[in-house]
Formats: sequence, structure tokens, C-alpha cells
Amino acid sequence: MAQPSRKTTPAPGTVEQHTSASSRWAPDLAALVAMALAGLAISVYLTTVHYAHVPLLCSAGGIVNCAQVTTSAYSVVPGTQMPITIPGMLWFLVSGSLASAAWRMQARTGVAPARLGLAHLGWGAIGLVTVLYLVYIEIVRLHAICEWCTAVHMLTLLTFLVALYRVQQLPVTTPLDDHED
Amino acid sequence: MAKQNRPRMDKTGQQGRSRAGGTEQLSRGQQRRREMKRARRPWWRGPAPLIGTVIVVLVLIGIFIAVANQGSSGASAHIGQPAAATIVRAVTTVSPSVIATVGTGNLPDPYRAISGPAPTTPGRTQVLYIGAEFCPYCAADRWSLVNALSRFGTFSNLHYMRSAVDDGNIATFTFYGSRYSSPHLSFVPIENEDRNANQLQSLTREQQQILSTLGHNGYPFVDIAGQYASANDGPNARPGGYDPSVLSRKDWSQIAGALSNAHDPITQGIIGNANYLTAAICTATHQQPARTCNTATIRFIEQLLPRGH
Repeated sequence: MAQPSRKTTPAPGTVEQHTSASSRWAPDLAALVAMALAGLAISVYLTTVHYAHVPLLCSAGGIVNCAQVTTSAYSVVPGTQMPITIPGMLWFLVSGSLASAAWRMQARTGVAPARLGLAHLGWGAIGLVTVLYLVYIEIVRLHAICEWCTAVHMLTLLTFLVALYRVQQLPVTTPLDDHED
Repeated sequence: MAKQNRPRMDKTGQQGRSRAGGTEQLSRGQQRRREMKRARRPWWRGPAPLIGTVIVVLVLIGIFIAVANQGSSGASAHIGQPAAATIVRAVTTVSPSVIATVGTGNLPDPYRAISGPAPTTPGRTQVLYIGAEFCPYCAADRWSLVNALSRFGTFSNLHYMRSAVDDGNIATFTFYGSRYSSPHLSFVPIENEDRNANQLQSLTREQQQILSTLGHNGYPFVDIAGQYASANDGPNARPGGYDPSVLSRKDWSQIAGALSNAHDPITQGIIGNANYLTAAICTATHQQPARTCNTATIRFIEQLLPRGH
């Protein structure tokens, strides 16, 4: 059985790339792609509803009130008429692209590029911070929750967690590791 | 990706595990290395960041809920405070498309034609409002009045108010201490009683007579230039123009926020009622100003208003 090829011993702060036939199947990357597709689908639906001026398929009364959230003053990018679902679409598009690129690279070379993993983690952090702001708006300002938005928020949180998990698994020798040693 | 632990191969390509006595030795070695590795694994590669992220998110959501609940339970603290500019703006600048979409809001006409005395201010049409701060129908009607009258002029110095705690506790404004300026209208608001049903603003003899003869001493009463008045009496009377229960358990920001959605029951009530009021006022002002009165929606509703005697 072939051993993972190690050309050199990685210096602190460099990335050691993991090559293994078994690592070509990447359930975490598949999950990231699936979540991006789901988020993209929801964002497209919400954007369509916004421009078509048709009612949303969700409850509209009490605490759970999609319409109140998606038609509030906070539902557009500040200073514009653009619904925030469009940046949401962009976020999921980029997230899906990063995961797809990593998956392709891994399938082709057996290498999970660390840079893509780190980029995905950073992108996920941006998404998570935005989601926390939007949840604040829903709960504190609007006193209403939107099911579709909550689904998108959950997908964003899960994307961040999976991206974080992937970075944790990277065979990276960092100054932090050395320090911990 | 998680690394897989594979059996170590010796130089001959045999698995160490197959050698006599090697299994235990290798296993111990592997175990020792594994333990050392685990001991040397930095904290950030462990489950702490994942669990920590989830905990931070849950804690933040808990804080948001606590803040939201505190805001709701302390809502009475807002009473008597000046209304936030953002709230007033949301009520006074509802988009024309929402106004057009709502139309009558499927409400019955809240006004009836009268031929009473015409309380007028020289050169301007007078709108008389008589209500009370404790009254939930007045609370509902004030949202419509603020919206409709802002199409003819400008409000200032509006303050937050709620109807009586045991009478809906509906979030609204009070006209007590407010100011209104318009080149077309003179608005005379009287808050006859406060939130505790104590006398607040007294009525003139003429106003008392109008209230008793045309308004059957009921709140709220709105008189538009002696031509239209609130239809507070009769089996189909709906004081305040719409059902105030749509505003129950809502605070000012929620109500104001709803006004951007033409399909929200809150908007249907407030704007539907305001459109009727606007149409009645436009009839009295002879379609002035044109930008307010000369719209298809208001013109249409004017046709629905009862004719004067």
C-alpha cells in the first residue's frame, strides 16, 4: 500500500499537503456544496418573490411572520432598493464555488488545498457575522422570525462549522502548533 | 479530512501485526505515539472551536431574546416620550404603491355625510378630532390620522401613548402637545381624557355640542369640515375605522415596520382607513393638494363616500 508522499519536512508556518486515494471522497466538501445549493435556491426564491410582489409561502402572523421580515426596511441593502437576498445569493455562490474548486482539486490530485480551506473559513466568518446581525434585527427590532431566513441562517452557520472543521483537519505545521508543543 | 490509521508495513512489505510478538509491541508504540500526539495536539484542532462557536451563537440569540423581551415589558416606559423620527417617518411616508395597493383595505366606509355646523378656520378646512388616550379605537384611529393628515401637512412633537392596560394596551401616539401645520387644513385634536380616564383637555361648548349631537358622545369622533363625521353609531359601526386588535401586542416599530407591506393586516387597517379619511378631506378641500387628491385611488374612494344632504 502506498504511503502518503512527503517530499520534505514542512517548516513551521508552511502547509503539508495530504495525498491519499481515500481522501478523494470528501463528504465535508460535498456537504458544503449541497448547503450552498440549498442556500442559493432559497435566496433565488426570496429574490423572485421580492420582485414579483407575490406573497411568500410561509406563515404571516405572530412571532413567525415572513412577510413582516422580508418586507421590512431591513430587507434591503442600506441606501439601496436591492433586497439583501442578492448579496445572500452571492455569498452562497462563492461558498459553493470554493467547495467545488477544493473538491475538484482533491479529486484530481488528491490534494486538499489549504488556501481554499482558509478562504472558505474566512468567507464563512463573514457570513456568520452577517447572519448574527440579521438575527438581531429579526428578534430585537422586528420581533418576528422568518422561516426561510432562519433556514438560510442555519445553512450559513453549518457552512462555517464545516469550513472550520476542514481547517482543523489540515495537516498544517504552524507557529501556534510549535508553541503548543 | 480525518487521517486513517493504517497498519504499519515493515521492510519486507509484511504487516508488523503478523509478526510474532510484534502486535502487542507495535500496538503499545502506536498507542504511545497516539497519546503523545493527542497530548501535543493544540487546542484549536480539538472540538473546542466548533462547540465554542455554537455556544457563542446560542448565547447571542439568548441575549437578543432577553433584550427584545425587556423592550416589550418595559414598553410602558416609552409612554409620554417623543416619538422616534424613524417611526414618525415610516408612518408619514408610506409609499404610493402601498397606498394604491391597499385602497379601501376592504373596510366599510367609516364616515357618514353630515350637515352639521362647519367648524372652520379662515382659508382652511378644519378637521376636528375628539378622543381619549385610554381608548383603543382612538389608538387605532390615530395611526390613520397621522398618515392621512401628513398627506396634507406636517406633524411634529408627537409622543408615544398606549391605550389603557385593561383596554388593549395598544401602541399609538397622543395628539396632546402635538403640532400640525398645513396650508390646506387646520387640525384641532382634543384628547378629552388621559390614559387613566382623567380629564385632560376640555371641550368648548361648541365641540361638546358637536360630539353629543353628531358623535353620540363616543370616542373617537372625527368631523371633517362639517361634511363628514365618524360613523360611530348603528349596527355596522366600527369606531376608529378598523379593528384595533390587529395592533395587539405590537410595539411602535413593529406597527411602523409593517406599513411597507400592503398585504399586512396592520397596513390594510391603518392605510385603508387613512385612504377613506384622505378621500373625505379631499372632497372638503376641493381636491387640494392635487398630488394627494388627484390619484386614482383617492378619486375612486371619493366615489364610495356618501353624498351630503
